[in-house]
Amino acid sequence: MKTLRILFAVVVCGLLTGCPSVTLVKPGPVTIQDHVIVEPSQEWSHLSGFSKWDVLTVDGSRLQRVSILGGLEDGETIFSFREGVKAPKFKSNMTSVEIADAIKASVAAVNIRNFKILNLRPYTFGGEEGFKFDCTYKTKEGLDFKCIFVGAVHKKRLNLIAVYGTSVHYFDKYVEEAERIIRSARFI
Amino acid sequence: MRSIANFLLSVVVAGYLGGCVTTPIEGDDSPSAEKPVSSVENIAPGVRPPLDTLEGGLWMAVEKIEKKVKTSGTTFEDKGLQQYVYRIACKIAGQYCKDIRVYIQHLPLFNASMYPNGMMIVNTGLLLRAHNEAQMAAVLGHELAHYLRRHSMQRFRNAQETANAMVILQFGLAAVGIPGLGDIATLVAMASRSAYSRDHEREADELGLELMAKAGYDPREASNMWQQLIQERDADPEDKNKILFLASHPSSEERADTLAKLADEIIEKRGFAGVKNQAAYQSVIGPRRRTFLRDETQLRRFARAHKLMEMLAELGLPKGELNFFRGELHRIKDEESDHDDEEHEKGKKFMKALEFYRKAIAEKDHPPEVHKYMGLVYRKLNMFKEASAAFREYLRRAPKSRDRLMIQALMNKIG
Repeated sequence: MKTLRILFAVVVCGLLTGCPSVTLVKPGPVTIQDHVIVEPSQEWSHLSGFSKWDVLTVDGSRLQRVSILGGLEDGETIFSFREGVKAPKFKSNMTSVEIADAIKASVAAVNIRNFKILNLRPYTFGGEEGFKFDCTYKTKEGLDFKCIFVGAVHKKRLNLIAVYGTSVHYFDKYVEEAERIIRSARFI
Repeated sequence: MRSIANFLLSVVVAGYLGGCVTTPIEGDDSPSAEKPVSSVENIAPGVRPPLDTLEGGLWMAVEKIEKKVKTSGTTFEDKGLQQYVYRIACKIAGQYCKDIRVYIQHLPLFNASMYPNGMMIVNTGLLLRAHNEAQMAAVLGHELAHYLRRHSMQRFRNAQETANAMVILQFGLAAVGIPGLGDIATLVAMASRSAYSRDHEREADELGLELMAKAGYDPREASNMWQQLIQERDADPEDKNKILFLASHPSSEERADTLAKLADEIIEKRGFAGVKNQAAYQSVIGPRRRTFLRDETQLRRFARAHKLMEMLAELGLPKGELNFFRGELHRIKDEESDHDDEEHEKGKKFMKALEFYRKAIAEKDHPPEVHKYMGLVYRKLNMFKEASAAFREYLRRAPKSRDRLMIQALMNKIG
């Protein structure tokens, strides 16, 4: 009976778009969402299936994380929103300026309106012409965060990596490793 | 367990903040003060309720919320603006001035609320929509009336009683074999709670009007504020079908009419209207307006935002700025439209956006960003020469912009 239940759960999970899971990632190539390959140089916890983004974290995703979104299609929103929230949609003909605007407006849609883009600049990401920017924001609970976003469109799909960490301690602790992950990114 | 209990209490408290009560204000001879909705006395200035009372407990719970509000990331960190709003609130509050604290929340929705311990929350969406100091004073006066009359505590008490009654009703229905009717009990409870709240809203409207008038403001602006909100709401067809039975406030039309009549009575009685202070108000809001307007465009409530900006333009506010954001509303709508090809074929896509951008740059006060977004639109329309010129103008006017390297790269690409 128990085996049947497990089998049923596995089948249902298989039918859904992504079952939430937490796995340990070892140093070396990791494929994210069938669209992006990155190569961390240390062990990370890999959270997938919880939202549109896969998350790599060491000390917990509320303190620091490297979030990766692979292969976002035309017309989709950048984050997962609850029904009824009017959020920006990605369009494959958007420029980097417009994608950065869409990211900022998406963050605003979850009521974080202090998100500051500090220096939007061109950046070659995964071999494609893309963008990079540093950013800061404060959570609803009052915690200051630093962040980095990089993105590029590949085969009309948007790929993004976002690095987040508390301004005190956690951002600085992992920023070098996060930059290595960004540089290692390849698109499938 | 304790943290769950605290959390639940916070949720309940937050849900019942509109709050209520009533004792005539000292020296106040207003009709509403003579005929309060309930027999509860007004809060006394500078007095904190004892901790072992229901109200004392409510205050303690709200103080925990206030602690979080103080450091929250949603707080609009702008001391100048906060102090300005506080000054107006103080003017209206009179002897209660020292008992209130004002926090500005960075939320582009029309709202303000007052907690039973004197914490007042004002949204940036309200500040953008008010046309003058008198309109803002009308809303602050309404919220202060909730505080003075201790409406929160009454609602809290009512909720407790209703919850008890619901349990009895549910048991009674189950006993006669119709447990499915539990939903009706919920509806009855909600409706009675709403009706109770509407009484408090009316009382707060009346007293709020008197408070703002006493502070020297033109009370007719309260009704005008509501009329503006009605116009904005009616611009969006999706928002028109509201179930009035469950509304927790008197209908906006009824509210506007009542406020207008009461304002006329006050003016007739005292023989003068009072001040609006539009110039003073707009000089404070002016430097922050672009942030607030950008917030509105990000909400993607296009019809409402157009109506709002149209009304602000009629007021004589900077047209360059307002036309830029109206252009932005069109650009974003077209950009995210699902009918890309059709619109492109018809040659209509982005035309309205360009029309408003052009109107904007005809005004001296237009922000440099107009040129950037014009450039992006021209680029999409394959008008590369125009795009390049627009980007160049943007960089000339905003040489230190945070996206200059990206704009430069776009210019290099189109040649």
